[in-house]
Amino acid sequence: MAVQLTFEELFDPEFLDALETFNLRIKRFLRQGRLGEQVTHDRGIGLEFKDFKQYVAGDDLRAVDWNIYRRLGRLFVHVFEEYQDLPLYLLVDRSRSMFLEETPRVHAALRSALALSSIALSQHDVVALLSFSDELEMHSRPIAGRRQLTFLGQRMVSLSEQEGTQLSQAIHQLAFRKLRPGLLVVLSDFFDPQGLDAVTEALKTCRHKILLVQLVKNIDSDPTQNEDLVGDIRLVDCETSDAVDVSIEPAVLNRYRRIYDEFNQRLTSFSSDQGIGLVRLNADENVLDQLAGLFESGALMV
Amino acid sequence: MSFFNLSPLLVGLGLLALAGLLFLLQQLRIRYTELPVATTMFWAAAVREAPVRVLRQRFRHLLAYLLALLICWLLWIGFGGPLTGAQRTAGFNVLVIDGSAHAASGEIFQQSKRQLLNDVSKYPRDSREVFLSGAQNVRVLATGEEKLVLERRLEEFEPVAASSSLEELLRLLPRNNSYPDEVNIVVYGGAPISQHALDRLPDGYSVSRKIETLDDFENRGIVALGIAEPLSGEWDTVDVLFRILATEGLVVELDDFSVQVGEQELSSARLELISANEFRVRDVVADGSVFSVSIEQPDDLDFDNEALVTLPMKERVPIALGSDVPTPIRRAIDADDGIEIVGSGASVAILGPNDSEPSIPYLCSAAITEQEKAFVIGYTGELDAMEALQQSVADLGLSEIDSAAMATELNQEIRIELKHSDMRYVSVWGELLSENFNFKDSLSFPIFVSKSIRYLADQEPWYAYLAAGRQPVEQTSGSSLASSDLLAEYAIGASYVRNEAGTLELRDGSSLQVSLLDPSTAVRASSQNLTDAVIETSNAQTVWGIATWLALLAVLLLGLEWYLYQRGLVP
Repeated sequence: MAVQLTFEELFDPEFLDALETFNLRIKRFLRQGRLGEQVTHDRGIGLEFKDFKQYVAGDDLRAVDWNIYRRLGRLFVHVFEEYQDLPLYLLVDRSRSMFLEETPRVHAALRSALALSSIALSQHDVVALLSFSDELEMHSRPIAGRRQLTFLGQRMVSLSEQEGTQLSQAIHQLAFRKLRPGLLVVLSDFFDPQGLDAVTEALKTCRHKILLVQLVKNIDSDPTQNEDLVGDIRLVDCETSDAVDVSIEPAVLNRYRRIYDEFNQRLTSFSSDQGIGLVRLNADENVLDQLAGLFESGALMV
Repeated sequence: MSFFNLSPLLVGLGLLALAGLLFLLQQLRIRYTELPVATTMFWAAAVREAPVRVLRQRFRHLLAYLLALLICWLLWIGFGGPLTGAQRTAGFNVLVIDGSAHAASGEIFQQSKRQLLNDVSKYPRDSREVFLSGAQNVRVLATGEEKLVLERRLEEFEPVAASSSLEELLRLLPRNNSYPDEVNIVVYGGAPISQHALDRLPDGYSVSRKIETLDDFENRGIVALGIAEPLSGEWDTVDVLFRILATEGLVVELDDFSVQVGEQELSSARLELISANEFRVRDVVADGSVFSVSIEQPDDLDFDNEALVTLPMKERVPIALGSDVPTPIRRAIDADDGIEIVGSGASVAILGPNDSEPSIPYLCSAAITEQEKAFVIGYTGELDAMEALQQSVADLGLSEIDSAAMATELNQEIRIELKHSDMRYVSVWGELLSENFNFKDSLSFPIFVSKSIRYLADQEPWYAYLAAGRQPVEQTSGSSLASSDLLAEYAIGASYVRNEAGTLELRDGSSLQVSLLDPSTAVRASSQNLTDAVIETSNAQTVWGIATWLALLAVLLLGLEWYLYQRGLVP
């Protein structure tokens, strides 16, 4: 049984300070929200001048360039670059597999979620916290303002271990909730017993921009690092309690590695094909270092 | 390479046992260790491609079984080193390399060593032992040990200036109960073996020789060097006698050797030829120095070119005279220059009839009515009284006395009594010293007085000669009653004399010289001719070779099994 993160452990000031320089951007965003820092392709009210256009009925008279009218006798209005806020939906996997082992994946997941929340709130975006196991649960409605980060942190540490992983079902349930389109960040190991295909099919139906954060561990790709994994072993699934008898031999290990690599490859291909962001975070390593790598140029573009 | 040599039957039983054991091991069901993991879905897929190792039927993994069985069998046969019945009954082999002075001439020892190392691997390891016979007999290779061990151990040994202890080894070997009835002893070197030593060996023992001595052995050697009481009768000198032998064709001349007393070389004029090759130096001052004889001419053996002996230290015995000491005793004392009468510091007292018992050893006379036996000797040693009595007759010169005549004159039986006492004393009937008897006028009387006084003074014994490996011969009065360092060590079974030539350190800090003095070494005295050993290449060599190949084959099969295991073809 893994040790659950405390608020103090999660809400590390140094960790949060280090996130100050990071930005989260999406490539294309629909105009439906309020003013934020996400640049849209729409032109309208904003701070940065972008272009002129001929006046048509309904345009804001305050934007008319009267100097041009005096010289040309025709009405032109200023066009400004418009900034909109980005709803960020953090969907955290709280199945048992996330809580297994000494350094559980959920620790890295929660730190990543807090980091993304901090970045989003600091750039005036709204953040909602959801979790899933067998069911989808919403822990916080979309909220804005940096002050809400503490609230989100408290909600995150309260996420306890649940049963299995029903990610595909959770995504379907999310579709029924009338949430404003935004960025959906799924933090999970993606070990859904229904298979990766069910997950990808569900993700295809999602109308949000998606960022998949895959929590991996060293022993996933190299099981020999697990000292207990020798000889004849009965591997018991931590979620379903299904048992698999394995004689640990080089040939079996090779097959396992191939199958695991195929799984990752399929997830990568799906993300690439669907224009979905995919980030792999190693739960055994420092989260901040890995995030720093992702935000290398200062902004993570999804 | 084999741990033990088994009969074919035992090896076969071992093969069957291994087959059965491996079969049982294959029958064992796997006991799984449960381990919770998150990646079961991948493991399940991996296992679906290669089901887990479970014995659902007999010999599911026949290839693995046969491979394991073959490897085990090869190792078993290799290390078991099976011997046929003929090999097992070929008897036990004791190889003896001579490390005595015999082997010091020329390259004999090196040749013997090379030949031994060449031969030793031809014997089965469980039926061979190797001894080095030098000053002592040392087992240099025990049963079952590797030849490599022998090589290293022999590096430590060189021939020593000692007589051969081979005959002693031949005497002890039959006492080893672990040997079978048939024992073949092969001697590497020319150490002599007497017919008597061979005759003592039990039936089934045979002795042969592999390396003889040098064919053209030429040597002069000092074979005897000893000290004797001087013919001149001088109390403070000794005569030294020595003998030098030479091999055939060589003669010993006065120019061939030199003699030294202490640091001073002795003139050849003082050498007296007693008989062929025997010399005597008369009246050498007995001052405790070392007398040495050295042969100057080089020859085939160096160990016997020098011999040394420590001369005794003779000192006057200080005595105190009582009142009215019987005149015959007084006259005998006056005639002995080795005795001096002192006022104080005497070590022996001579008492008259009226003198009381002193605190130092004493010689006295007693009336026939007061003393039952003619001679009563008080001794302080730890010897058994009967043993001491037997020696005392000679030690005190009593054997020289005409006891029959005395008994006739006295009409009394002349007997000697030994009494254990806190202090030494000698008491004689006063009547024997009277005018009525001729004991006082006999030649034996001054000898009796002189030896008695020296016994009472407890003078340090000295040794006629000290030869390597031989018991010392003591030259002093009352030796069996004296407390000699050497004899004391002998009594408790210690090494009372060195087995090899050199200096013998005594407990009191003094030292004595020990020389080789061995005629059989010097001139290769006649030794029982032995047949040359014929060592046939035994199957031990073959077994070793087969064992090596079998082990190599087993390693190759192990490699094959590893390859198949890596490929997933065997579990």
